[in-house]
Order: sequence, then C-alpha cells, then structure tokens
Amino acid sequence: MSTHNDSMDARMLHAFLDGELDGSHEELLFHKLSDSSALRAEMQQQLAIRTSIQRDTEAFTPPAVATSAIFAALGFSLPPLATMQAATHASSGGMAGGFAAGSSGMRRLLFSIGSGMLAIIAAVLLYMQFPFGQSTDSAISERVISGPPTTIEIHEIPALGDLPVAAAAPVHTANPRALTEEAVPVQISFHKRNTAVRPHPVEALAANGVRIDPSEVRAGQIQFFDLIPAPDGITLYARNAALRSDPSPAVVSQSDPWFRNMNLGLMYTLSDYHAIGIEVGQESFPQTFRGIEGGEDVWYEQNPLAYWATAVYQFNGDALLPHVHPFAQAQFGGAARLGPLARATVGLKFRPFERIAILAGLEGSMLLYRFQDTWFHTDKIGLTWGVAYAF
Amino acid sequence: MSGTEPHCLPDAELFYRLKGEKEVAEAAFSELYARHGGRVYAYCLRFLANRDEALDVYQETFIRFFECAKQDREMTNVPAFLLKIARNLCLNTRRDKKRTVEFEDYQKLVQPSSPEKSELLQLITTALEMLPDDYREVFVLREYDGLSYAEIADVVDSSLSNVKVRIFRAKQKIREILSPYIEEFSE
Repeated sequence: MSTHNDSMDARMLHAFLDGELDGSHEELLFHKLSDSSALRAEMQQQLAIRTSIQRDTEAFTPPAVATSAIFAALGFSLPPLATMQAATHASSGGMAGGFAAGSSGMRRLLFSIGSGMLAIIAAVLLYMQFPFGQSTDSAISERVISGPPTTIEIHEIPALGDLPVAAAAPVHTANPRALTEEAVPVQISFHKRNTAVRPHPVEALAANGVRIDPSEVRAGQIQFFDLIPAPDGITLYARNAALRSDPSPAVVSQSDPWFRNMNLGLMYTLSDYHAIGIEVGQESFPQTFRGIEGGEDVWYEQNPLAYWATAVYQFNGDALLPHVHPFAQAQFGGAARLGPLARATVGLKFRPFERIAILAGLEGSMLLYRFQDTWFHTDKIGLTWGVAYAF
Repeated sequence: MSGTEPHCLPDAELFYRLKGEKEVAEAAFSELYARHGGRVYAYCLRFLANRDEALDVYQETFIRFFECAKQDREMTNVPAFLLKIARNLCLNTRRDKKRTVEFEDYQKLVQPSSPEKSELLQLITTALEMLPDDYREVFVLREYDGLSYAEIADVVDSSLSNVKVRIFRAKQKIREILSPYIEEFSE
C-alpha cells in the first residue's frame, strides 16, 4: 500500500514538474513534500536531470553542415550568421558532413581545372587553325590588306629605312587602323628574311603616337604582325581562379553555381605598358568574426557567395620570350553586402596570335568586413588562368 | 521595427508565407528554422542516438516540411507538425536499420563523447540510449522539446493517459539507471 502511495506521489510530482498537475492536487503535493524526504530527494534529482538536459548544447545545436544542406536543397541562401559552435560540430561531424563538404570542394576544383583546360584547348585549336607565328614567306604573303596594291620591295639594308614617306608617314595618324586599311594600302613581300625579334612592335609604337625613326628600321626586321594595327584598346577577358582562403571554410557555401569563381573583365589599353578597366566576378568568401550577442562573446562563421566588382590597373612588361609577356595587376573595389575588396595578380600572358592571349598567374586577395565596429578580413591566395581577346 | 518582420509573426502566419514568392518564403522559412531547428535536431539526435542518422533525418524533415507547406494545409502547431515528420522519418530509419550493437557503438557507450559535456549529462545520454524506443521518444519530446502531454499524444498518435504513463515510466527508468551516481549530483 505504501509503494502504491509512493508511486502516486511520484506521479503527482512529475506532473507538477511538467506543469500538468491541476491546482486541486498541488496543495496535496506540497503537503506530501513537506512530510517526505524521499519525495523531496526525487524532486531534486528530477530537477538536476532537467537542468543537465537544458545544458545539452550538442543536442540543441544543429550542425552548420545540415543547415547548409537544407537551405541549399531548397534554393535558399544561408541565414546570415551561423555560430562557430555549429561550425565546429560540422568540422568534427562524421562522414556525412565531411563528404558533403569534400564533394563540393572537389566539384569546384574539377570545374576550375576543366574550365582552364578548355580555355587552353580552345587557344591551341585556334592557333593550329591560324598558324600566325610561322614566319614563312608564303604565310606572310597570304595576309594581304585590301586596297589598291602598293608593293614595297625590300631588297637590302637600308631599303626599308629609306622609305620615310611611303611607310613611315602614316604612322603619325591618330588612328593606326587607318594606316594599313585605308590611308596606305600596302602589300608587303619580303625577299630577304631576317628572324631578329624587335623588342617594341611597330603598331604599339604607333598606337602611342611614337614616330618611328627610319634609322631604327632595318630591312627584314619588321615581321608581318608588326604592321598589323594594334587593337583599338579594348580587351575582354574571362578567367577563373582556384584560391585557398584564410580562414579556411568550415561551413559549406550556400549555393554552388556552375560559374563559380568566373571573372569577367574589360580593359582599356592606355599604352604599351599600362591598361585600366573593370572586372566583375563572384566567389565565396569564408568569414569568421567575433561579436557580442545576448551579452555573450560569440564567434561567427559563414561562407557567403558574393558578387564583386573592382577597378583594375594592369602593367604589362616587355616580352620575356617570344609572345610571352609578364603582367601585374592591382584591383580595388567591393563585394556586395560584404565590404571592400582588394586583389593583386602577377603572371604571364602568352600571345600565340594577335588578338588572343592566354594568361596564368598567382593571385592574392583581401576582403575586409565590419561587425560591431570591428574590422575583420579574409585573405586568399592561389592560381588564376584565363583567356583574353583584344578587339 | 515593422510588425510584419518575420520574427514578429506567429508560426501559423510564417507557415502560410511559405507558399509565397521566393523571398517571402525564404524569410519565413529562415525564421521557422531558427525557432524550431534546435528542438527538431535534439529529438532526432537523442531518439536515434546516432549522429549521422540524425543528420539525415533532420535535413529530410525540413525539406518535407517545406514541401508540405506548399500544399493547402491548415497549421495550428508548427513544432508539433515538424516533430511528427521527424518521428515518422526516425521510425522509418529505425525499421530499416538492423539493430545490432556494433563495435563502434559499444565504444561510444564507454567513451566520453565530448570533453565539455558534463558528467551527469553524459550519464543521462547513456541512460537514454538504454531505454526502449517508446519510452525514449516521449521522454525526449517532454524534456528536450518541452511539449505538453497533449501535444506529445498528438505527435506519437497515442492517448493522453498512455503518454502520461510512458513519460512517468521513462523518468523512473532513467532515475533507476542513474541511481548509483545521481545522489552525488543532487547534493
């Protein structure tokens, strides 16, 4: 009978602790509690259990990898702040999370490599189709500029240098294209070959308004492409990048478009060496930052996919090898909804033919972002590659 | 601060907004996720006692929840609805999995799972895993998810009296398992 009563008392106690005991029984329970030390001990134990459960943060914190997966599956962007605690769980989160993050990274890497390979293959195919660099007589003579033919016969040094009027005068024009297409239609044939490479192509000098000194021009030193006019100064390029970031991403980015890390740029050539332009692109920026929330010091981590735009300054150096030029590039701008962005790139441009260049280089970037009056930054470094087309 | 901001709206209104345009639905879903994600995950993790399985069920729960929201459905209790979906998926997982105590599982029982976890919580988690499924789930719904007895009865599709008995027995069982240790913690 006593056991039954104890059980009934315990039921009342549990119902009370769960907020399910009606008022009429509360007074009875309080009376029992005042009489029974065992019942009081049980209440303390139940409260101790409950308190411990409420501190079970592991259970109440969904891992960031799961949150990312859910929002990505529904086509939503990740909520702005995912706690570092969640990210920590993600990083220790077993095979499911690890594979999810790993497969995404692998896919991005394969896409980056694939796009780079495609760019190179496309350039090689074009090169094979138009073997511009072959300096044979036949290849050169096939490139005839339209208009009434005016043949320049270059026989011996200084034959061409002695053509101050016919060949050099149009170089003064502000529009170099006019030189060869309209003003002075020229058909050139070389009888004497000379494979020496000029350090500064004629058309580049002409584009700068630099007058060619006839005494510097030597017969046979002018390759055919020296007389092709320089582009009007506009170059369009697309490039991709594989960048390692610091901090490294512990949470998966919210979306994974096929054009991840693709950048498009438009440059205007100021001179042989200098160009300016703009570049836009998108990529994910892993961010970590500290802050205060609810009076507690918290550590946040997120990995948003951001669209960015920058102004670009580019310096192009003299050729190191035939058709290979070094370049350095600095960019300043911002990533939408994140903060200011700076990028710097050094690399090489390979120009197998006039209008197309393949570029590859080393790139570093820094994104600054502000949270609760404190600046944080994400740094990235890695490789970049792409293709440029000069109009 | 506008009264139409998602965090100012009740669950039912947010649930209704899930049928709206993408931006509206996204904001509503984010808010519902923030409100109830923790308790759904706690249910999955503590009921299944397996982190990888819990992750799968947890993700699937919210995806199905969103799909359900697209249908014309009256919603009075979002957390209970979420937990119903989670429960069905957990039971499916349980049914599909051949319950064997693998070597790794055994190690999980005897090794501390995380250094920051209190010793009592460690013991409670272990004791919870030793309960029968029908006791464990009502205990988790009560202690982790804070559901009332009536809500639990709705989620597990059982009578109120049956739920009361199961909760009481689950608590008693845990107390029995912990009895060698619990006195020192309650002092």
